[in-house]
Amino acid sequence: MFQSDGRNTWEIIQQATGGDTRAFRMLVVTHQTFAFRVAFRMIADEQDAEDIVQEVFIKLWSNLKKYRPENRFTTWLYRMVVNQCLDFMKSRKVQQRSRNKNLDEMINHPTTISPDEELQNRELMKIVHQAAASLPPQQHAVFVLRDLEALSVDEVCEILSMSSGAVKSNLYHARKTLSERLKSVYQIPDNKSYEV
Amino acid sequence: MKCKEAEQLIYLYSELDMDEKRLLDAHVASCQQCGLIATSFGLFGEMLMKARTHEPAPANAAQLTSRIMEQVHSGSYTSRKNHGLMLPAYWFRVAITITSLILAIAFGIESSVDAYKVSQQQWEVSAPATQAHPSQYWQARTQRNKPASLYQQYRKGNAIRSNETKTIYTDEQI
Repeated sequence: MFQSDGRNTWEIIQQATGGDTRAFRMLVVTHQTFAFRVAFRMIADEQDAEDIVQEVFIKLWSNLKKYRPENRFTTWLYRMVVNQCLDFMKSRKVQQRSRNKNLDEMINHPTTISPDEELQNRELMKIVHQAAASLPPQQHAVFVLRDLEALSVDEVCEILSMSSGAVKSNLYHARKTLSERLKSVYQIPDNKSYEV
Repeated sequence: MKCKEAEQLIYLYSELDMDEKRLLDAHVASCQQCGLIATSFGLFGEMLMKARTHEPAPANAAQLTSRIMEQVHSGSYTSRKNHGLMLPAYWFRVAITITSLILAIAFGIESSVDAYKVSQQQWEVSAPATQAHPSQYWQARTQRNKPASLYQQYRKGNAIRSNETKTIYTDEQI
């Protein structure tokens, strides 16, 4: 099966590099959900995340020859998705203000969320992503990779081409900002449902 | 450990080694202010864990795959890179800009030449023979060997024209 990193993925990439679109389709099917998840956590918008995934895979198709098997394919893909997202974020600075306004409305005008745990978590995720979108791009990328994707500091350093010190510094500022910004969301009694 | 340092370490707790964690734990246990920050950050961590359990996925994965593969099959990207049949957008814009500049400069030069020819013809018809064309004066100013004579010629011609104009509009003649 061609499901994860390793020899099989390398074989598929070799086939796709030779122009085999069926092999490339297999790569897309296997990794598009992963790419979408990262993009969505960076952008906090489904449509934009899908567009980014599409652009990333088109770039991947034309850059497959550059892939080296000594690197993990997912690390390479992470880097492509994150860079694409950072480029996108630079181009939508104006829209950012309206997103911040939406987040303030979500936090300051409470509506009780369904007691269903899955729905609660989905709403929480939405709030966290919206809040994270207000961070500076580098802090945002470090926060998503380390705290939401749960990658190691070394992996984050490799993906973002940053030193360990820079990753930790960005992480400190991101966590501090978000924990202060979302205090009204997470500081609630255990026996009550979330109010956001 | 001072509170300022402790605060920084609280936000990086998961990145600390065992010794650092032990030192921080001891400080937090004895400092109420840092204890509050640690508790608050702990709740934030729990919220992140819950938020992380919901993994976003594309609304229609099959449709997304189809969209990607359509673009791959159309070959627009590979043909740009490998065969150079189509110019990438950036170079296309550069080419358009350069072409526009060349056309603008060429048109400008042609218009200037035409205007110069017309003005020279008009000058030849209207100006007295003794007077030099203004362009000749400026041309002469750049050639240091004979600025004075042409300048004088130009001034003299202007003086003649000026006198002629004055004589045309004298009260006696009107």
